[in-house]
Amino acid sequence: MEGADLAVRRPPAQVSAVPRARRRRRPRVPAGLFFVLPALVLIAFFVVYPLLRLVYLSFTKYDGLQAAQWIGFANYLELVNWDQFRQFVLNTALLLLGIPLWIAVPFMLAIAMFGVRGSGPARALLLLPALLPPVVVGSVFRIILADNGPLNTALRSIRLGALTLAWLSDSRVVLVTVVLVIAWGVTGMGVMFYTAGLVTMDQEIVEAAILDGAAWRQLVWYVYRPALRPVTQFWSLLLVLLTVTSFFPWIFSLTKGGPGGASTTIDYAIYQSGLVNNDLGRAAAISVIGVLFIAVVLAAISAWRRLSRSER
Amino acid sequence: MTTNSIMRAESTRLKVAIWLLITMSVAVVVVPLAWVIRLAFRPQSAYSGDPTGVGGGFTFDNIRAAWDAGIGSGLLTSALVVPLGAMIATVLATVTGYALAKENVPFKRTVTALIVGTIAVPLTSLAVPVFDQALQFGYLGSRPALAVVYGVLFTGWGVLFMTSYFSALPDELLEAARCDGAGRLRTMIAIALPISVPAMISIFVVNMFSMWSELIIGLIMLPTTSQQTAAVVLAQFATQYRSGGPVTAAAMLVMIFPMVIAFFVCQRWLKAEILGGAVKG
Repeated sequence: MEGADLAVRRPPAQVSAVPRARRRRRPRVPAGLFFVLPALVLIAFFVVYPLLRLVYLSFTKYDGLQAAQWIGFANYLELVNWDQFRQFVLNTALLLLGIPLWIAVPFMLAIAMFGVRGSGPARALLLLPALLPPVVVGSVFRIILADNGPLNTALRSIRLGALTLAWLSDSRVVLVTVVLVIAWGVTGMGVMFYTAGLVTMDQEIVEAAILDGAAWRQLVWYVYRPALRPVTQFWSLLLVLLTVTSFFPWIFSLTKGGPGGASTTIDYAIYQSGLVNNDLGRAAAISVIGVLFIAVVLAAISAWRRLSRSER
Repeated sequence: MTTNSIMRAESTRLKVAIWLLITMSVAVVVVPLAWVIRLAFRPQSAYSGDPTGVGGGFTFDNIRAAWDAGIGSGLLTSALVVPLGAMIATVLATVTGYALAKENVPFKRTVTALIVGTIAVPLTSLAVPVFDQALQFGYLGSRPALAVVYGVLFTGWGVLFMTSYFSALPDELLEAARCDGAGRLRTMIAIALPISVPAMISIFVVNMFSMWSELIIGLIMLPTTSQQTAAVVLAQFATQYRSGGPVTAAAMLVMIFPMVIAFFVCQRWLKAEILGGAVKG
C-alpha cells in the first residue's frame, strides 16, 4: 500500500532513466517541451495571470466598471476590523473539525463490511451520494432538514420530538449540520478507497493478531490503523482538495451562509462581497486569504505525512 | 477475500452488530434519496396536505414545471459546455502527462509542480479574477469560453493521473517504435495514445462529472439567466422555492439524469482506472 502516496508525489521521481546513447542524439530543443507547451501557456493565461491579477486587485477599490483604484492595505485592514469576517474565518476553521469524522466513518465502515457476504451491493449503494454533485446533496437536505421538514416531522411522529433540532436555522447547530451533510456526501467514496486498501493489505497480520487473542478494538487500532495509514493520508489529501477548497457549493445550496452568517465560510464570503455586493476589491482580498488558508492546511498535512514517515 | 476477520474472531453478538451497522448506513443513504425521488412525482396538492408522506398519486407535472422554470435550458447549456470542456481537459492531460512521464522536459520538477499545483487553488478564489479577465477580454457570457476555462482548470487532475499511468508503461514499447524510425510525435500518436484510450475515457468521464457539478465559475462566467448551466439553475431553484417543493425535487432529477446515464455507460472504465491510478499508484 506504499502506492497511495506515490500517486501524488510520483511525477518528479522517475525522470532521467534515459540511456546515454539516446541522450547524445537528442535535438537541441527537447520534443517534450512542445508537448507540455499548450498546457503551460493555457495555465499561465487562465490560472497564473488571474492569480497575479487577484493579488493586485486586493489592493484596489474596484467594482468591475470603473478602473481599479490603488488603495494599499485598506481592504485587508477593513477585513481585520470586521467582526463578522473573523467569524467567517472561524467557521471555515471549525468545518475542518469535520475531517476526522469524514475519515473515521468510512474507515470503520470499510473494515466492518470487508469480506462480509452480501456487502457488495451495500457498498455500491453507499457510493451513490459520491456521484451526486454537492449542489444536489445540499438541495436534498435543504428540503429534508427544514424546520417543519420531513425529518423533524418524522421524529415527532415516532415520539422522538426531543431530538428535533432547527438544523438549518439555529446558529449553534448549523455548522454541525453542514459537517454531517458533507459526511453523507463523501462517506461512500472513502469506503471505496479503504476497501481497495484492505484488498491489497496482508491478511496474515490480522490472522496472527486474532490468534494472539486481540479484541476487535485492538485489531482496529493496532493492526488496521497503521496498515491503512497510506490510504488515510491519500484520503485526507483528497478531502482537502475536493471539499475544503470548495465549501461553496455545499453552503450555497444548503444554508446560503445563514442564519445571520453563522455558516458563512471564507469562500461564501467571496461570493457575497464580489457578486452580491459588487465590491470586487474586498472580494479579491478575501480570495487571497482563502488561498493562504488552503496553503496552511496543505502544509499541515504534508508535515503530518513527513512526521509519520520518519516514525516508521 | 475470505470472511471478515473481525467477525470470525468474535461472537455472534458482534455479527449482529455489524449487520445492524451496514443496514443502518445503507438506510441513511437510501431513504432520503428514495423520498426525494418520490417527492418529484407527487402532486402539488398531496404535498401541501402532507409534506412528509409519500402518498397521493403520481404525476409528471413537477418535471414539466421544473423544465419550464429553467432547468431545461440549463441542461442544454451544460450539454454544450461540459463535453467540450472535458475533451479539452482530457487532451491536454494526456499529451502533458505523456511528456512528463516519457519525454525529456526542461525543468521537469517545476513544470510538474506548476501544472499539478493548480488543483490546490480554490476555484472560488479564482472567481473574481476570472470574471474580471472575461470582462477585459470580452468573453463574459460566452459558452465556448467557459468550456475552455473549465478545460484548463481541470487539467491538473488529469495530468496527475496520466503521468502515473504513462510511467507504468514499459519504455521498451516506445524504444521499439523509435528504432523503427518513428519520430517523437509519431511514437506518441501511433503507440502511446492507442494504448491509453481506456485511461483517456475514464478521465474524460471524471471531468464530465466535475464540470457538470461545478458551480461558482459557471455562475460568474454566464450571467444571463437563460444561459446558465444546470448546476447554477438548480442551486438557485433550491433557494427560490423556499419551502422546497416537489418542483425542486423534479429539477434535481432532471439535472442528474444525464450523469446517471453516463455513469452506467462508463462504469467499467471508471472502477478499474481510477482505483488503479489513485490507490495502487
